Amino acid sequence: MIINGTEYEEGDRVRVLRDGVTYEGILMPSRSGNIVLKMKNGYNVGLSQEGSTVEFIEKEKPPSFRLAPHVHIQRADLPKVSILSTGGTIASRVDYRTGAVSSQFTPDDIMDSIPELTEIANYNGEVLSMIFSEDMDAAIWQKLAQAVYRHINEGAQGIIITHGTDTMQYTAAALSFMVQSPVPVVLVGSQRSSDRPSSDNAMNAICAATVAVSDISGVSVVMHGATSDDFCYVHRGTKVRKMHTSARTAFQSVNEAPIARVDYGTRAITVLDDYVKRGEKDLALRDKMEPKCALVKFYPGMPSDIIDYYLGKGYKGMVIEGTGLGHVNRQWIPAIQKAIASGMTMVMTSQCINGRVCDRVYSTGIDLINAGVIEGQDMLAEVALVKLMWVLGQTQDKDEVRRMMQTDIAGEINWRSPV
Amino acid sequence: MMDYACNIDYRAIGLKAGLEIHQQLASRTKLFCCCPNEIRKAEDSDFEFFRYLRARESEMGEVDRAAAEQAMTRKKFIYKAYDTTCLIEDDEEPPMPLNPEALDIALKASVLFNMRPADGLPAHLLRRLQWLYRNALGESGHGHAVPGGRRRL
Repeated sequence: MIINGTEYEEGDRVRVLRDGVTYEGILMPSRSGNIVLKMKNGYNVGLSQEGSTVEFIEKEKPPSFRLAPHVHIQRADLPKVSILSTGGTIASRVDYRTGAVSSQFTPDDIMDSIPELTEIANYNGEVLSMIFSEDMDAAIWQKLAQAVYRHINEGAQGIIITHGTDTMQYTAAALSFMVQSPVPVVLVGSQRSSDRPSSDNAMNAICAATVAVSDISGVSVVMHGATSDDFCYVHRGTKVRKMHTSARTAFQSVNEAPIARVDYGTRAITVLDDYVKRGEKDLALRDKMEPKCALVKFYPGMPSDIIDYYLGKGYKGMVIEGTGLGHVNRQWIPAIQKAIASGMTMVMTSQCINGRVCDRVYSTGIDLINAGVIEGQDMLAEVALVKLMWVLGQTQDKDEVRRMMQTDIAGEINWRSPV
Repeated sequence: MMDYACNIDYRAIGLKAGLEIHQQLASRTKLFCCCPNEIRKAEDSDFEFFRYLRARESEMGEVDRAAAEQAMTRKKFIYKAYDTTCLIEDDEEPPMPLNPEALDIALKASVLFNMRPADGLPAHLLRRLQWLYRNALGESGHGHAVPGGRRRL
């Protein structure tokens, strides 16, 4: 940064004289324009540039003590697991040169910071993207699905995908449909930044690795089950939803129990629900997607012209998050009829999150069914959206689209609602 | 030991001594959340949870040696929660901005002590990674309000 006409670098040790007081410290990044110093006592101080005299002392010195890099020894008796990194909190640190939280960890970095992982498997790592999960899109899901397929094809006995938690449920659903896997494909992240001592990243990653070498095949999300560092839940990739903005227990299975729980201390897996076993299904990749699908949340008084907008933009499918059992304002019916007649597929889900859609109870629902709306059963709205993208990527046939949307393909529809 | 200490010319060796005073500010709510600022008895706790802390790099890319040693012992830290604590103290929610009332008290105290407030408050907080048992984050936020100043009491 330039202070009073002279260029200084972050990390430089400087002396600042201001109002008769001398401050000495390391120049830190500043967003306010003030000179920010980390002083020897550890405190940060912000000083206005105006009236300050700055004297350069020396350039940045490397840290005096860092954790030694872990020596990764391959053990012949351990299974082969691939870690695919996409970025996110499990693999991010605060970059104090820029002040930003950045995702810059490679799989080797993850093993350095969580050495217990090397007791569970031998790892092969690949950095696919380094993005925040809100920057994901269907094209990146495809790249990820292709990488999962390739790693399994090359002999990986389990896959761990590190992912930001914000959109993890969408990626989990997308991979569930795109990759039919004979081995575990585990998505994991952390809710609390991995650069702090109390982060949930280590426990989540260790439990994820435990699941990756287990016989629970298919796509799952493994995250904290309680606020304590006690156990993780294994959630089915098509039934999981982020239900809290910040807490460790944000991820919950909706409309069914989690598949299993993993004890952090013993790494024992307790099965809680049905799952597809390792090797039961053959490896297959069906990665075509139709990204021109929308998810629309209805609210009271919402005009139906949003449908005309998407129709005009050439969208092929729309998932509606309706009220209660799956309703929208009756005045929407003509717009819905027009959209379906124009070739758009429309699927109804519920903003209640829990429970099943049923449009055969009230007259509005019956009108929606008569207009051609497909009931999304007990699918999460986000999962229904991803599934619709995937189904429309597989077939253009209207009857086949309807049949597939109402068929359980990857555990996304339960035909029984357990108490 | 006493004799040895008495024989040192402290002025010649440039000894500096300071006094660090920890004083809880009488603000209505806590520094980084809106919980009431009350000290509670352990028996009033209505919930407890545990965490294993790990050694991490500090702001400056360094790892505290003591923290690294402690992490190797795999200590289980048990925290007590109360009806006067919230997700922020449990490290389940990001901290709120610095309590303006607490800053106001600190600045008033600094004026009474004839100190000079630093510029740029309250923007520059230190994240101090710590291996203390007092909060669930394993770190605490510190602000340096004022340098220098003296007051004859």
